Amino acid sequence: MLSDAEEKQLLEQIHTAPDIFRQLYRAYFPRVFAYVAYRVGSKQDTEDLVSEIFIKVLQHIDSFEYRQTGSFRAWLFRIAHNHVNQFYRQNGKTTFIPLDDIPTIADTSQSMDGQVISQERFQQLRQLIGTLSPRRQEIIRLRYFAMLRNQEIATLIGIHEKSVASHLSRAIADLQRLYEQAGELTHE
Amino acid sequence: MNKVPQDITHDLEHIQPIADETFQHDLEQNLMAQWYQQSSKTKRKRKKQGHMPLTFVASLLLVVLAGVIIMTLPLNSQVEYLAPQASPLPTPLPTLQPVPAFFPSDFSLILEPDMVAIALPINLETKDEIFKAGDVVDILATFNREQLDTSLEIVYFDVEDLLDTHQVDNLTVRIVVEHVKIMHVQTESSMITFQVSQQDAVVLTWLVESQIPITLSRIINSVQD
Repeated sequence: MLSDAEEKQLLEQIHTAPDIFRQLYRAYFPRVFAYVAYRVGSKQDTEDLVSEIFIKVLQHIDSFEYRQTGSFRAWLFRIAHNHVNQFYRQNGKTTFIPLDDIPTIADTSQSMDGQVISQERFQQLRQLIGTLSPRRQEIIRLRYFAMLRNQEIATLIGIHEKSVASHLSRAIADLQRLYEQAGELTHE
Repeated sequence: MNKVPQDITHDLEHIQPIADETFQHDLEQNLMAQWYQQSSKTKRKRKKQGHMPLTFVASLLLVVLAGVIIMTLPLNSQVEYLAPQASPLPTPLPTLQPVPAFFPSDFSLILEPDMVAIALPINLETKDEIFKAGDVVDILATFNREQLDTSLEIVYFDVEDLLDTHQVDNLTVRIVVEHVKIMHVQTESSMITFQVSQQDAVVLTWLVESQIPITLSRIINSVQD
């Protein structure tokens, strides 16, 4: 992960060498991939969309100007957000994703869950997030998978930082309740 | 499911989809190839165009300088033999108009992290109000969605989402940006500079680029002279 100072330095020299774009790509690829995967669910669609998003970023990088910490992240994820919306408009939403079309899931807590169980938990998380209001869904995805700060999310979706914090805390409370209910049901 | 979920935040933080290494690597290679292609195209374009902005600025300065010389020369040279008379008022030099730019990175002035100053041509003909710096107004645009130039690619906001949100009926869209502060008014050119959020600035500039007329509504809070 790049520090804010490193990112600033890279963005100021973005046009000078290809290696700089490469570094940004490597730093942000995992986050963009996770964000898109949680939105669309399917591995194939995620790969297609992630490719198109980075191509768009490259094509428009000339119009980007570094202003403050986080402005690149907000810009990048605005492109990703809009691109996935466009995808849904053209293709409609798919509710069921077969397990063999789900991306590989890394459980970074190093629990001993197998890949299939991790994929099931990913499915479950996606479904639960999908029960929230569209705004809260997006705030959760931007916070946990794009790993944006509240202030960056506020800039991206055009609401106040305090509103982001409030939506986030309510969304987490709702998800926790649903999560516990789902756990109880599984064990009944 | 053989595990009771306990803490949602823990799972949100740790259940992360990851890409296949081959996919990530191949995409990186493709992007780099495109970077070189794009870079060489830009270089060729720059070479072809020369230093356009500098040439433009230099020409503009020359015109202004010529105007100043033309205005001042006759006064200086005739002062010795002309009968004393009131000096003609110098014709005001044409004011350079800030041109609304399409992308936020081109906006000339950043006021604070989320706010920018944007100069827009405003249709004031139908309004009797006089707008002043400091006034707080609503900016309105009502248009048929077919009027928009959809060829202008927008990456900063979701066009369809915006149009759907502001749709009045099947065709008409009405966009209102509320409680905007006026920073500067140029009545002769109907250009008014506003203080708006970056997102609103992009939307408004896009409307101007699509030649959608923008009007101002009621004054919410007028400053006292």
